[in-house]
Amino acid sequence: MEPPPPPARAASSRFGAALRVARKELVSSLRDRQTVIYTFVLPICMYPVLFWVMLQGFLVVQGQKERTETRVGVAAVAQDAIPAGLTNALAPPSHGDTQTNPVQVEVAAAPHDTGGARAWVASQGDEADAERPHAVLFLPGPDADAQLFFDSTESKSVLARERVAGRLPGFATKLRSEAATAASVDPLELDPIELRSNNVAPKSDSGALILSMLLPMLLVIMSVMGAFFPAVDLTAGEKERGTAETTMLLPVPRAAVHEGKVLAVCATAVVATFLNLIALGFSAENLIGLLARSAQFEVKLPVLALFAVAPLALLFSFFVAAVLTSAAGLANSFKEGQAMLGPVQLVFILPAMIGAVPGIDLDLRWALVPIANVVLAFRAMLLGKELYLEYAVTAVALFVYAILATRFAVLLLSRESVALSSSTIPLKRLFSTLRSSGDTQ
Amino acid sequence: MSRTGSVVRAVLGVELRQLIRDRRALLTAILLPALLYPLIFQAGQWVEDVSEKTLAEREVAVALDTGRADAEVVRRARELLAARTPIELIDVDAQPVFTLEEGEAESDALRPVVRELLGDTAQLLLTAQPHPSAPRRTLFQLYYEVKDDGAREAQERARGALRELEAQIAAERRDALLGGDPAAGLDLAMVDVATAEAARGAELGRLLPFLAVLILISGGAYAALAVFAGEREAGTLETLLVQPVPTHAVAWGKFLAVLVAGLTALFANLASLIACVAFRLGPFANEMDEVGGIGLARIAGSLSYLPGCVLLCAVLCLVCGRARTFREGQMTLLPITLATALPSAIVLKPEVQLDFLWAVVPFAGPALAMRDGLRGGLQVGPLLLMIAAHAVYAGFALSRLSSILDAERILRSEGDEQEATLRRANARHALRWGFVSVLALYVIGGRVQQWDPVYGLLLTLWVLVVALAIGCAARTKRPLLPELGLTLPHPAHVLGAVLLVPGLVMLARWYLPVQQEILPLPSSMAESAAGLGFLEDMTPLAMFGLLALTPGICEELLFRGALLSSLKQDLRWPRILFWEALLFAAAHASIYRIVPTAFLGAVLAAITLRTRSIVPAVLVHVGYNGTLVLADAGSVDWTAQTWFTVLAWAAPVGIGLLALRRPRAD
Amino acid sequence: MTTEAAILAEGLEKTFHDPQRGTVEAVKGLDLECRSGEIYGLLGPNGAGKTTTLRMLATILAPTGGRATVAGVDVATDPLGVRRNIGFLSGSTGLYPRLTARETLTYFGELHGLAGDALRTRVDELIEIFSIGSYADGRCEGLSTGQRQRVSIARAVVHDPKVLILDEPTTGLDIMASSDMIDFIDSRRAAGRCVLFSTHVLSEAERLCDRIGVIYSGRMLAVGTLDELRERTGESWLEDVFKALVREAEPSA
Repeated sequence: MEPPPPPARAASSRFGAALRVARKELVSSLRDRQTVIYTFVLPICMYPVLFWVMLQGFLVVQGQKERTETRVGVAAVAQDAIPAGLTNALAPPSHGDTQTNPVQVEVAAAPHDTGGARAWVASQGDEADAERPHAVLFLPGPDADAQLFFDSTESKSVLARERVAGRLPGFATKLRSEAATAASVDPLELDPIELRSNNVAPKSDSGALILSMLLPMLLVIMSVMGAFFPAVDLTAGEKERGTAETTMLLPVPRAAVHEGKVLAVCATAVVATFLNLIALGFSAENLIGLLARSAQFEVKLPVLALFAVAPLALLFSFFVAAVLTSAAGLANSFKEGQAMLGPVQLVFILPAMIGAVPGIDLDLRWALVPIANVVLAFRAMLLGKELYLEYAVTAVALFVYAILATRFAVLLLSRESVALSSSTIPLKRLFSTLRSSGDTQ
Repeated sequence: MSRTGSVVRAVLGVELRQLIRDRRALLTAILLPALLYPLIFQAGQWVEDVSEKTLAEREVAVALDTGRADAEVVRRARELLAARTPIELIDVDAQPVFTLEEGEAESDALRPVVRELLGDTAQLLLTAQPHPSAPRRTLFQLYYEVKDDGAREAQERARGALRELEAQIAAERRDALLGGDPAAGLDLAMVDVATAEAARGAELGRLLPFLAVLILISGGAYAALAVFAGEREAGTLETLLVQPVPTHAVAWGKFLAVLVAGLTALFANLASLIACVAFRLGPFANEMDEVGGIGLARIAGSLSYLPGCVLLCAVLCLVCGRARTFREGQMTLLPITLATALPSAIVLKPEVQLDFLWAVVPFAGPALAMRDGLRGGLQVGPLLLMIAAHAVYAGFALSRLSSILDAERILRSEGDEQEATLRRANARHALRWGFVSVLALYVIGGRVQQWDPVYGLLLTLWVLVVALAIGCAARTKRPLLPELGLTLPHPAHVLGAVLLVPGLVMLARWYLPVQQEILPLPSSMAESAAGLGFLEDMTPLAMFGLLALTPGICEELLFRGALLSSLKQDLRWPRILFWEALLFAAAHASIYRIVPTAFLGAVLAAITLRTRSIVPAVLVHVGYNGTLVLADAGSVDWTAQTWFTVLAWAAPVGIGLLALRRPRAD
Repeated sequence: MTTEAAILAEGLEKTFHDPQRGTVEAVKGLDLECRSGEIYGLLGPNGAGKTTTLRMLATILAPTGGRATVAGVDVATDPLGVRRNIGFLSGSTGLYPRLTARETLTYFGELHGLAGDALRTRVDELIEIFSIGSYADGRCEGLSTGQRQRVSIARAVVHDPKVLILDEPTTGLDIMASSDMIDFIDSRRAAGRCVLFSTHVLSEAERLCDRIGVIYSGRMLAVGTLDELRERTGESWLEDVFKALVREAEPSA
């Protein structure tokens, strides 16, 4: 039998019904401790801890590195090709009780050629070579460049290289200024040019640059991850819990139910996204503040850009929520839904990599490309660019995509074969499902 | 024993059979990543190529004002600049900038002027003038705004051109003035003697530990979720647990199934990656000249990651075994991924190799071992320690897993977490407040102290810490003062506690050099600690107040007062000491202070448990900090140490311990 | 009447901590004795403690008080020994969806220590007995409720246990499936095994049970044959017997 026609005011209250459904879904997911912990508490705690561990790890590595002993061999075509004082320059005497970045220099007793010098470097992992140098400095005479033989796959060799490369230029400068003084020439005359690079941008711009490489990608990743669980929970999870039929019996248009679900997913995703962005920005600000006490640059939480991007992020989350909800709606259990969304997730995250390409800027064409547009727009906002027209086009494009995706979600989820399916529908049957008749209204 | 073995085999076989039959999950968890990672590499490579290319092809415009400098130098500079195409050179009059520079203006004042000169077309302003202090030198200055891509590129090109010019002229000058280069032949050319195989292995070693974590988690987690959470949801776990088999056999069988799934995923990916290397795909495209493998020995060396696999799978089992539903298990995967990928990041530091310290760091040890194995320089000693340490960790996880597979917990799934909450509400309250305090100290305290070290410290301790203590105590709705530990102690206990101070100080004096050997402090940190500028103009008394009295009182109120009072409602002393040590160490937030602060935290907690008042702990804390502060201020001589002095320190400790043994008044 | 008590419980207690209701005593000092060759029905409303009692006897839950032996083995000290001697079936003992019926039976046979030819013979025998043959090699996820029920029963008796503990075995089954179940329970009596089962379907109890224990809010109200209970309460319909016993225990109810 045909159901009685809906009352006339139903059309105007469909959005209201959707909101009520969304509210109910949000309340019930907020009652779930797990959801609250993983969506809200985790991002707040995670980033400070993450940055702390990174900082401490950095310090430990730094401390270890400074103490690691390295051996450097010095060889030359002829013994008189080794300048006096080279050994001291490579292994400066220590000032305190412990030496930082110690180098032990061993000068070859006999002249070498290139091959001999190369063969002298300790080969990787060979215990018998315990006494051989980690890197060998070979001096082929005044007419050619000095060669430093090292093994890029061996830790101590890399260190030895770093130390020699750091100390040798200073030694060369010293030799030159000594010679200049001896010849009564001002050593500065030998250095004809001074180059100063002045960044006249405000200090916070350097920080904004760093954040502009991080946050846009994070915006996309977090929107997708934030929408992931609610999307599966509200569709496949509902089928699994057996409440799908109850939901279908609600005395509101089906479309309103599905729209309400998309709204609820979207709300969770937005909140998760912003919590993550704020927590990351704040932690980065803190960490970089600790590391760079120097005034070179500072990272400021980009409050203005966060406000500016909020409408775009909201529309984008809406779009993500609709796409993920439709995909998850095909599954009939949480597990299946989650397996289904894995690949879908990548469809979003891969294009977000465009945000890491420095040469590409937001223009009117990019503003029409979903995902890429929100990434590029956020980056431009973080850098303080005033591309108002492009931002507006991005917003409109996102809005249209979000509406289309929601329409699609409603269309798909209203199919009888989807709503009441007892098994998961494979993606390849998606289109035949859409073509098939039998909308539940 | 063989009975257990056959049960493990039966469970393993059935679990594997079921996993294999779950086609869709198999596809997304194992096969997809194997195809995907090469794709991601390609995409990453593409992004890098495109960005390099777009920047290199970018037309940049440089505004120049070179009128004041030596004409010959300027001519050559322009020539070199113009060669860095595509570039446009625009002459401007930068007088306002010179004027500002003479007045030593800040960049805030320069910015509008530079912007004005650059206009819409140019991204970089280059000025040249005779050097103010040496007229035969030329001073080139670049002005740009860092966040503009074009400006950075223009800056790069200008710097390159000017460096080239500098080298040319310097060589000419040396020839003219000194008749040759006194440092001839000292310009360095780097020659890497690593074999192509080793280099390929090293390249792979930078990637593989991360991929291993990701792939193991994707492959292992799907299995772990299916064999624990999934079974729990389907109700088959109950069936299994009414069979006459020991739970540890079930746990082992399931763990092995997870391990097999994880390793299968890993090997599928390893093969796909090695193929990438061999056929020079993705990030390997540019680095290598020839197509080739990395050698069997290196591939075998990468097997040293196995202990990491075992531990990771055990952890996954533990987490998924705890989860009551599939969904819940799924949600824990992100934190696990982060917690395992982060230590693996150590492989990005080429100068670090697997040593005895890193070997015991979970996941960092195996990651380094794998990388060193791929590079071909694995050391046996640390490797063995790494294997042993990870076996111990994994064994611990598995024993926990067996206890989790207890039928009672599983059946009472709906309420077991809440039940635990009820049973240990006080301890949970304390731990929650404890960790919130640690986080607040780190985030808020860190900020405030950045603003002003002295007032920041005072504010943090007297306002933040005290507020947290009072908040934590007030929430229990028990009387506030005893909850904060503010009760009158037995005089003998006070005396005993104070007598412990010299012993603690001695211990710290002995321990710190030992730690310095194992965990050396970077010189930058040692310097910043030695030169805490703000302390230098403080009187010893003020320093005592700031660094001993303040932390002594405030920290004790929170840690030994409010937190301990709640902890001891529910826990026995070993656990109380453990949590006190952990929280106190975490609050100090430095890896170099973990051991001393954890030890001090545990000792102070023990004293407080013994005396039922924080007063003795406050005195010990103040005394300990105070002695160390005064010692740093140079008022105590620590150098002369004989057996006699050691005895002199030990005697009070003994008396102190005896005094603490006195029974409590109540 | 046989001599040996297959199941013996004395003063069995179980206390849970529940966040909403605080401490809940689900079972308060319950005594129970079933003999071999006997079918014993545990009767009671939802929440009376039937499931908890059965789970304690099956060693899924640990008793917080009292003692119990199953087939002479103590529940608390040797749970493994108990499990070797029982078959347990309840509404929540599921089947592995991706295993076939035959694989399921083989698996549980292995866990009970069967191997090789003995195992194969036993599995074939069970498939024969329970007429699983036509769907023995299809995955369990594709079976109907009745078919699943048969596999579950076969699973529970794969080791031919001395004691069968069944928790509401017919709940959710259709007429055919539950009559299969009833036939099966009946057949165990003939084989001299002990069956302890809980139900709230009075007709089943009436038809099957040698003795009935009426359990209400964690206590055993009365034990006896149907006739003994009728005699004690003076009611003839089991439903009325039950109500009378509850009134007796708790006059306000």
